[in-house]
Amino acid sequence: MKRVLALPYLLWMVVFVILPVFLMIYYSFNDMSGNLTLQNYAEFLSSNYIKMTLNSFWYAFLITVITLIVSYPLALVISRLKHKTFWLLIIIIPTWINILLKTYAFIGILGINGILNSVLEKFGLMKIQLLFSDFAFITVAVYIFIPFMVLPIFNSINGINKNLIWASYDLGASKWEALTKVIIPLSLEGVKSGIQITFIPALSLFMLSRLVAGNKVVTLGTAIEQQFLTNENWGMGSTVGVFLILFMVFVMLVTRTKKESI
Amino acid sequence: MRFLITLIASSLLVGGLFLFGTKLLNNTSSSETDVLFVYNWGEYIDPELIKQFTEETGIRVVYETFDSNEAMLVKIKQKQRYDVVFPSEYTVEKMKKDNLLLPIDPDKIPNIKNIDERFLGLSFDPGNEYSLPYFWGTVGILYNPETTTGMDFSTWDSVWDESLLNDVLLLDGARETIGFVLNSEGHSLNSTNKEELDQAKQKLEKLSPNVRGIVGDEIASMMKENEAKVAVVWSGMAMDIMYENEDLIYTIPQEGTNLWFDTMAIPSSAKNIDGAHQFINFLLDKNVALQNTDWVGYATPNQAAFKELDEEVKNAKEFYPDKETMEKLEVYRDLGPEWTEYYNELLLEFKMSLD
Amino acid sequence: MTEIRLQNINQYFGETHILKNIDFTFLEGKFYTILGPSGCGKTTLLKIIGGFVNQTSGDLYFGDKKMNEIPANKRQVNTVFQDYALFPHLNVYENVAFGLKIKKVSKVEREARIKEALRFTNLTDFKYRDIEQLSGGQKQRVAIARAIVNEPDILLLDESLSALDHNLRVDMQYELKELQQKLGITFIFVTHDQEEALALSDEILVMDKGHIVQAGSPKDIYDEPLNKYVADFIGESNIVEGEMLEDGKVSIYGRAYECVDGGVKSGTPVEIMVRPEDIVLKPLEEGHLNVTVDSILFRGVHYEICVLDEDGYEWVIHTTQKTEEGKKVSIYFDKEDMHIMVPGEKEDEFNERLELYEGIL
Repeated sequence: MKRVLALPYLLWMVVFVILPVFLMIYYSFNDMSGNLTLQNYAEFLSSNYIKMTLNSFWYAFLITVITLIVSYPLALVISRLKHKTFWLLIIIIPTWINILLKTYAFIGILGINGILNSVLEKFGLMKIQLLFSDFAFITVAVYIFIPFMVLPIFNSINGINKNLIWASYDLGASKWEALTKVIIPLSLEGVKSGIQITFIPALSLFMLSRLVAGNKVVTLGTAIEQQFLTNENWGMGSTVGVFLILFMVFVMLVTRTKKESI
Repeated sequence: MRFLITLIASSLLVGGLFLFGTKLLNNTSSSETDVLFVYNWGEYIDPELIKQFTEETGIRVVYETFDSNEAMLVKIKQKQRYDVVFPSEYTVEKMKKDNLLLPIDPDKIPNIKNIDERFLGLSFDPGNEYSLPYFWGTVGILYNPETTTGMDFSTWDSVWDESLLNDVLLLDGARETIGFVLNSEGHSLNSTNKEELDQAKQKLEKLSPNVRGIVGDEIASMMKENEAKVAVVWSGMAMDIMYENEDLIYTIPQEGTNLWFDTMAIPSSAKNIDGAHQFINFLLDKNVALQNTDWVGYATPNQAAFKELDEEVKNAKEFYPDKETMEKLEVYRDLGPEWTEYYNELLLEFKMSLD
Repeated sequence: MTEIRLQNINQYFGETHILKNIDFTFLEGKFYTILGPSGCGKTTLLKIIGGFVNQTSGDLYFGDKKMNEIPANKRQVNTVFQDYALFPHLNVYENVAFGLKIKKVSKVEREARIKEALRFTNLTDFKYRDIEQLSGGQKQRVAIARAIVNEPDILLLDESLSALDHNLRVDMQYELKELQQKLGITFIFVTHDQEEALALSDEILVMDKGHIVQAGSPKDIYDEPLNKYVADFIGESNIVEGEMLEDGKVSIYGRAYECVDGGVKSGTPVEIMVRPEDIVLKPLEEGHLNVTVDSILFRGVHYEICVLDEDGYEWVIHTTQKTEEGKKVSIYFDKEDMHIMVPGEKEDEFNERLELYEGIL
């Protein structure tokens, strides 16, 4: 009976995950005329694509780190407040709104005539060109990822036995030492989860890089979009896709938590 | 082990079912003669005219849009049924080569006579066997004279000016962007000369500090807000922007630029060929073309309609250039898959080099 | 040096008055147990001493030093928590080392002290074990080792043995008592288990609803509880109502009995307590009261026999004597085994009275 219940899920996995992945791997060995070739892989390993990969990793890394720096204290604070659920809801609600809408909203905020610049103007300061910049890209990305980082960290911190903190005070630890020696080590699982949820998608952001960074930031996602839609080079696009999957698996392995086993 | 075999077998089974199913669905699409499937760019026809066509002919129109030639080609290649399609000129060349178009019967299109002769028999379809011009335009420089005081942008090189740091928007299209760089060096924008292209690449890289972004429709919203000072855009998009932001000026640099055409064509997957001809003929009607030009806002190749346009519009040299300028304009040729890829990779590399 | 003085401590949590005017002094080097049911405030009292709760009003002194403003991490007190609160991400050695590392004790000294603490608690073989691999009793000992390695003046234990099964618990009781005697520091132990309290303590504080009802040695509290509450809480008891006739004489059910208490005004209604193990079964008419045997339970160490006297009151008897249900017998107890309690008498009055009349009657 259990087997039968799992059938819809299995079917789904097969049709929408396993088959497409195989298809993609197959295509990655095709050139534009449909012949089998290793050319795509050779090209990916060329300096330009490697540069882009490193670039992608760098941006994803930056975004993840900044998101972590913002999210950890936030999660810590919320775990000490009275109405935790309420504050968590405030953090989560933006995720209910479509990512594209949020991005457009940011264009309104960061634009030369947008809210931020209007405030600057009011204070007699010079307006800044915020849109289509690295700053804009990272800011919007961080904003989008914060809820995904806050939740697992919060759960981790919240799950720590309160007595452990008392015990650390009892043994002479200051509030800061309690944080660094007890809370942080015990919340690492949550941090790892958060990093996974942030870093991996950040590698493939392409709408964001177009709308907010003016395509000046080229991620692996951008390259895939370009190859498939503009160049019609499904082979190369698939190759980049294959590498993206490899990187994702790599990141998942590195950040796997004790409870999972990949 | 058992499980693995079951998984693979079921994958193949399901995959097969899907392939077969979609094939079936495609074939059973309606082949009624009172329906017309039209595939066009977004916001590229006055919706009233579609209604008018249905009223006059009784043919129901199923209207679908695309936002790039490449996206459109994907669907066409899959033999999705469309009766009328609107490819750009270089795509017409490609589609001809791949046998994706059906010939147009001029006898069924009496309104051909309305088309300005200058726009017939062009290099991408010499006998207009497969396509007829729909709208045309150029690629040029859109700028705000108030924030770029003293500059006249009569030459492409002005885009490289140091004062335009982080203030220039470029189109996210390899032909457009590399094209104008080639033009700035006096080369053809259809060049397949490696030396010329290398030179263009290096010159393009020198533009990096000025580049604010390389995007598509986003240019419109940004220029409307004066978010950037200069943009390299299509004349059609420029018209649209200038409608909202009257400070801006559009100009065609003296070295020349691209002359683009969007055309009407009948794909090989068409089922209602008579209806397709009727539709094309309808669009070429003087009054219909006039109303359409008003609504879409681009430059019309319809001479009969042109005569009836407002003086202001007719005389706008930047949108209806004089003979002299016209001679310096080049139409995009299809470069073939290898060179197309070369251009595209070049642009991608350029994007990657920006920071 | 380190007596702990609580002066007029009051604790409110919101509207609830948890601790009411607590005055007590813990002397150095003794094993104290705070005993009481859930909600009586005993854990709160412990937390105030430990610094985990700031008392609403009142003063806390360690020796001469006022501790009110001093946070938990700066007090020379260590706690053994109910669930041990061992750090799961550290092994046994690192757990024990925690406090020493915070105090920046040198590596050499640290190692020596840890070694000693582990030896004290019989954990030398478990030095590098992971916490998850330990049994309840072992975790208990790690918690103790982690606390004592810091050489605190005072050790607080919050119901530390509650999680252990009975046999282990009894073993640990021995260990704890021995440990306290070896270390010579003050232990303050909180529990709701009166047997435990009796076994471990030098002195017991019985608490009820935020008050310390009675404080004294286990024997004193057991033999001479202040009132019904204490009598019921500690051990089992039979309590009947009666009237004080004169010093040495009390009337129960209208009959006069000799007793050994005095100092109570004639005619005062009192309660008389007799422990079940002090009652003996005798043939009918030969004892103090005639009773009918109601039920017999075999408890291993003795029979627990419930009998009903002619007034309907139930007496509980612990005896090795055999009898049968329904049999009519009589119960007997010595005059020394009767303990008089005056309802409403305060602890100091009570102590005074006992002192005066002890040994006289």
